[in-house]
Amino acid sequence: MSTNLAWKHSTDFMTAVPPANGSPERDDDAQLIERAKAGEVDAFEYVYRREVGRVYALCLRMTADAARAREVTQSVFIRAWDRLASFRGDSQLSSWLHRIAVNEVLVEARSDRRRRARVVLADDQSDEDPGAQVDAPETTGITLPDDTETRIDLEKAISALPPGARTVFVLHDIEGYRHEEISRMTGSAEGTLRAQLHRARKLLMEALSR
Amino acid sequence: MNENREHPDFEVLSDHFDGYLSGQDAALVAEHLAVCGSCAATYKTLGSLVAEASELPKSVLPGDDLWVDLRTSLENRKEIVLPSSRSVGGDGAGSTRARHASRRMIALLAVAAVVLILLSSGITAVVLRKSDTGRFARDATPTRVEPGPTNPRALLPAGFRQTENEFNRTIEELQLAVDTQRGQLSPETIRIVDRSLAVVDSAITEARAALLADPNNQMLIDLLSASYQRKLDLLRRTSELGSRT
Repeated sequence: MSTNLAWKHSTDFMTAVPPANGSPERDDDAQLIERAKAGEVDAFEYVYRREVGRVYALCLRMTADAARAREVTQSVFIRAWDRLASFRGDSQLSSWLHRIAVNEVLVEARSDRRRRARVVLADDQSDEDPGAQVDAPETTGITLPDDTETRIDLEKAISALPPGARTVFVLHDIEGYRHEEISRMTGSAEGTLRAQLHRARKLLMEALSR
Repeated sequence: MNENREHPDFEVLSDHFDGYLSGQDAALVAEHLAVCGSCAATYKTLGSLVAEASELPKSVLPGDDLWVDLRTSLENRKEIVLPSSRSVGGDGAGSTRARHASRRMIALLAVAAVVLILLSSGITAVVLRKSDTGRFARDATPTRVEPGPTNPRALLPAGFRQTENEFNRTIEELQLAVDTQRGQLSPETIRIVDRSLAVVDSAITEARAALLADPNNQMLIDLLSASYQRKLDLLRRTSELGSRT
């Protein structure tokens, strides 16, 4: 939580780093994947440069922790590298990576809850998210230098939501997943997810009205 | 429904916004919203919130460039990528060929066990040598090296931690697959696999303990990586064997 993070909304990430070999600007996903499958890390770097912003944004919003978000982002791309053989091109590469990212964050959150459960906490939380550590926005390490004040306030308020509510809000209202899709990803019942979403929206409206 | 009727709960308004209410309920809520300024204001605020959320930037770059560390991890993992099960057997050539493949696999596992024993011995030699060197270099007090899993992983080299996590995740998945396939393997195969796994686990423990004591030793990093790699190979091959029988 200690790392200061600037939210740099990447509009120019496509041109950030030219890969070492070939003409990747002309490569489509299939070519990139084939090159990466053959062990060409440079091709995978192009995938990374192109997708890291979206993956990191998801990880950051879902974890509300810049350091953890960076770790999970790295895990996402390592996972993707390991699973390249299973990518058949039925979906877009970005969607495939996004699914891996969601899964990684959820796995990491479950591991974190298990770690926390092993620690006897003196101040037990009454919230239904037993591992919930609602950090004040100013302690999340997130600074938001640009865009409107409303947007900044909204990002901060989202980061302060309890983890369960935050996860559903990010996936449903920001990323646009439907409840049935989130249910498949999280293993939670749709009714539970809807309740979490209502809770998140209510908490956000209260936070933003202050 | 008019303003005097009971106000719908926020949850109902939220469900209405998402289109989850039945036709009749939705009509009632819409009717109420038309006449109740308070609920209409809440509903409007809800709409604004959802609209703003959907317009948040979908891409945010991390403050640091993660690629350098990531590339190192990927380069290390190039060795980990094993042939998929598709490339081993499964060509429908009949039971005779499958049996021969199984025998070859058992023979391979036996060879792997020998290799692992040799590897473990090598690591032991390195550990002892390192332990001796360190002991005499610092003082004459014997140094006890704790086994890895109970020590904080922060003591491992930072660049290796991510790699180890990935090794462990993959191993966990494969171990689960092998556990579910045990019933399909012969007792002889299970015995060889278990013995080999015990040897490689011992090798991992020793190499990890040595690395914790000497975190900058690249040879120990390589040895530990090789041990994890051996375990992955063993589990992957066993899993492939189980899925074919």
